[in-house]
Amino acid sequence: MKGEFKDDTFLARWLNDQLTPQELEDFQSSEAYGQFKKIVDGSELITIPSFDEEKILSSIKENHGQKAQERSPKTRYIWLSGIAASIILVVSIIVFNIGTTPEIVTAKSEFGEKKFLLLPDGSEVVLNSKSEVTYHTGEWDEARKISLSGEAYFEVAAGETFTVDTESGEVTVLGTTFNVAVMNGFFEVKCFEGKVEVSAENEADYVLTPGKTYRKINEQPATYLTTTKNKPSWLDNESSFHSVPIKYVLIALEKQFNIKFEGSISNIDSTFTGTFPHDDLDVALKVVLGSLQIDYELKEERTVMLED
Amino acid sequence: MQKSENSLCDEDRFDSFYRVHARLLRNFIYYKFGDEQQADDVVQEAFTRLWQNCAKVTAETAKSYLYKIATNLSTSLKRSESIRLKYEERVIRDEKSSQTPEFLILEKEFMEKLSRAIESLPERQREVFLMNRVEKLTYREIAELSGVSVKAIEKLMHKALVKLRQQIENI
Repeated sequence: MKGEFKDDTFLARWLNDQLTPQELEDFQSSEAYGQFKKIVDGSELITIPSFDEEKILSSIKENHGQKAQERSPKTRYIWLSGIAASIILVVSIIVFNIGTTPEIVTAKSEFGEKKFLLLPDGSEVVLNSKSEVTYHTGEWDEARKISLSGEAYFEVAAGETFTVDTESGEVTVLGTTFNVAVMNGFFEVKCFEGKVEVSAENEADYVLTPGKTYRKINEQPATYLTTTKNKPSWLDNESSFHSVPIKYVLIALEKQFNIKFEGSISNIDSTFTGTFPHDDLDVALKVVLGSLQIDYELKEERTVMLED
Repeated sequence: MQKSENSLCDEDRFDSFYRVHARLLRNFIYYKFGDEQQADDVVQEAFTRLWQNCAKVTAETAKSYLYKIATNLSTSLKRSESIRLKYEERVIRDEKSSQTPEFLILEKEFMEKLSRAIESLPERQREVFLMNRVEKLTYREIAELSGVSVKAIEKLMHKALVKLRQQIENI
């Protein structure tokens, strides 16, 4: 198929009537033309199930209703004061429960699960598998601060300082998009937009600009890398690594597929560069362990024996 | 918080914004996953979040906000095993036309092949192809919805067509 077309947008331009008369004439006289024409005409007959617009709208409205109730426990309380004491006792417990919206919010994702989260200020967080964040709703307006273990991607709404607190260090931003991964001494921050400040113990603070990655492993000095991606690959259901010690890649595999590695690897310091898919354990193991020439056997009960 | 004149916190305005944008968003998600229920759920969730954050978005930014939320939500969804597209069978208008029974059978066969081929396209290619062919969106409009360049959309479209032709030949 290669070389059949002048460039990699030729057919798109044809559909949009953007070919030159000469290009069009050549294309129309080619054998492929009839087939493409048929595909394009046929695709217009594709239909999709109808959409019940009003039904969904009323479901959205129902959600509104619930929110409004949660937010106005006071009004309900006043209304209740006119009712018999015994009823008040029962109902005020409910009101009390409604009134105490949790101060501390924790969200976690399971093995192989990604979770989307909207913060009080409209900032967005996507958790990679087996990760957890915690924040205080009460103090949110004064200090946007969130604790993370595992890996998450952040799209922070503009505003006051936003801080991600981890066991390995702190990440501070104003409004930007970035990814933080922290696991067992591995600490990596990738900046996609804006500016991100990283402070880790025994390290000078460092300001990351778009395309820059900060990485610190245990007590070793921090390193800086460059990336060309504009979002982390795990959002597209694959995990990419660049010279990452094998130990951490194995942890990522365990979190993604809910598996356990047993046995040992003689060269624990070897590093992995590559990408594994989230939807196929066999391929993922082959890519990671195969490329490092580590023999393994997938046993029952989600255990992988490393045979080095 | 002061509400601007264009604020979506106004319920009537929110409703009309919903009626303008909901169906396309739902189809966009449907083309991605091929699951009606999931697409409806994503639409419901995305608009609920838009409502909750109505004071933070202006009418101008609401659309890209909506698609961003929907796209982020869908990254956490499981892909359904197989997508089944349906198509409209062409009606014979003129009995004397060339549309003999044989022709129609061949055409039905082709449509089956084409549907299967579209179903097996990679997610992004399928989404772009159907948004353009079925929803009649321009490349620029699709690019704006997914926050990428027009060139990127053109490449996906070209790739989708090349792939469809290969697939149909192989079936």
